[in-house]
Parts: sequence; structure tokens; C-alpha cells
Amino acid sequence: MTRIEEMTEPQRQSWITFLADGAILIWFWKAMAGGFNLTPSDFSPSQLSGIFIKLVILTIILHAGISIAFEMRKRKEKYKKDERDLEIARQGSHAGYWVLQLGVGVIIVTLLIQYVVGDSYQGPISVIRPVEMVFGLCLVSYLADLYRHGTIIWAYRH
Amino acid sequence: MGLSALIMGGKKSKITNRIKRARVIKGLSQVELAERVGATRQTIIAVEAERYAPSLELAFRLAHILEEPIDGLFIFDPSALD
Repeated sequence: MTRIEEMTEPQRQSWITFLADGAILIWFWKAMAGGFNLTPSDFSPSQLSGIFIKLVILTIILHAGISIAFEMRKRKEKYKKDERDLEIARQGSHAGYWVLQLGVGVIIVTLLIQYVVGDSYQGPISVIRPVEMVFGLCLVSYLADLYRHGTIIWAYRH
Repeated sequence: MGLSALIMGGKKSKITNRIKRARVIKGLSQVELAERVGATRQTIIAVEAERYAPSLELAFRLAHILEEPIDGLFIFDPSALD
């Protein structure tokens, strides 16, 4: 693994986001579904708001904490992105966009099938209730972002 | 095909280079060379380790600063075309 002192600025930022968002995703998934299930619990609007307020606070704390830890070991030098940074960022965005499109596609198709089939729907995932839609979209968003930053981290190593 | 090859679009570079040798002969550090060609130190490290094939423009900049012909600095393996 590349030492923090040797990382480029975009590589460092990707590590911070990857670690923070990874931890936040685990917390969010457990809070919403009581484990790593694909069906969230049946929250009231106020309960759901409470989870999202906690999510925002946790996001700020984790990003700040991990950023400080990385900042303390960072090499003090001026950094200007070059062609390799831009190429790796492009690869990351491409990979993340692919996962985002796939996830949103699955949600749209599931929603359509559930709406058409109605109560006889027996699929493994459900996105018909607002809580399920919010959970599904957030999950896809986090997974796409993690995949994007994971791709960037991987590309810097190879 | 490895994961890195998948991420890199399945491409494996067949370009080797003599950047490090030319840089040492010229008496430049990686930081100095990076500054002079307008790249980062990490990119020079990656190019020297043949983990990154630079753009044509960066290749010309390297050749200019290191005062080497570009085809002496970068070597393409023609068997890659087979």
C-alpha cells in the first residue's frame, strides 16, 4: 500500500472518502435494515428524518476525523493535477457512473414490475414504499461512490 | 485478464522506457524532472516504473528536457501487434 506521504492529492482524497463512506454505508445499512438485508424496516417519517440527521452528523465527523489523520502525515508540497491524475479520475468517474446506472436501472425496473403486478409481487427487493425507495437510492449512491473511489485507489497502485 | 487490466480497459502497455537512466545521466532528481516537464513527482515515478504510459505531449517534453530522441527514450515492442 502506498504510504500517505507518497500519495498524490487526489489519491489521498479518494482514500479519505472511501474509508469514511464505507463506514457510513455500513452504519446506514444496519440502521435502515437491521443488518445487511435488502428490505428496510418500516420507519415513520420522523424516525427516517432522525436517521438522516444522524447520517449527516456521522458523515461530518468521519470525514473530518479521517482527513485530519491523513493531513498530519501528508508531505508538504504544492500539488497541481497532471495528465495521469485526470486520466485516473476519468476512469473512476466512468466506473462509478456504470454502477450508478446499473443500480438506478434495477430500481426503475423493480418499481415498474411492482406497480404493474401489484400485491402478487414476490421479488427479492421492493421499492414501492417511500422508505424502500430512499433506502434503495441511497444504497446505490453509496455503492457507486465507493466503486468510483475504489477504482481510483486501484488505478494509482497499478 | 487481471482486475487492473479490466479497470485499464484491458490494455497492457508494451512501451518500455529509459527515463530513469537518462535522468540520472542528466543529474536530475524525480522532483526536478517533474517540475520541468509539468508533471507530478508521482507521475514520473509511475512512468519510470512503466506503470503509466505518458501522453505524446509529455513524452516529447521528457525527451526535450532529457535531450534524448523520443525513440531512444521510449521503446515499443512490435510483437504487441501480433
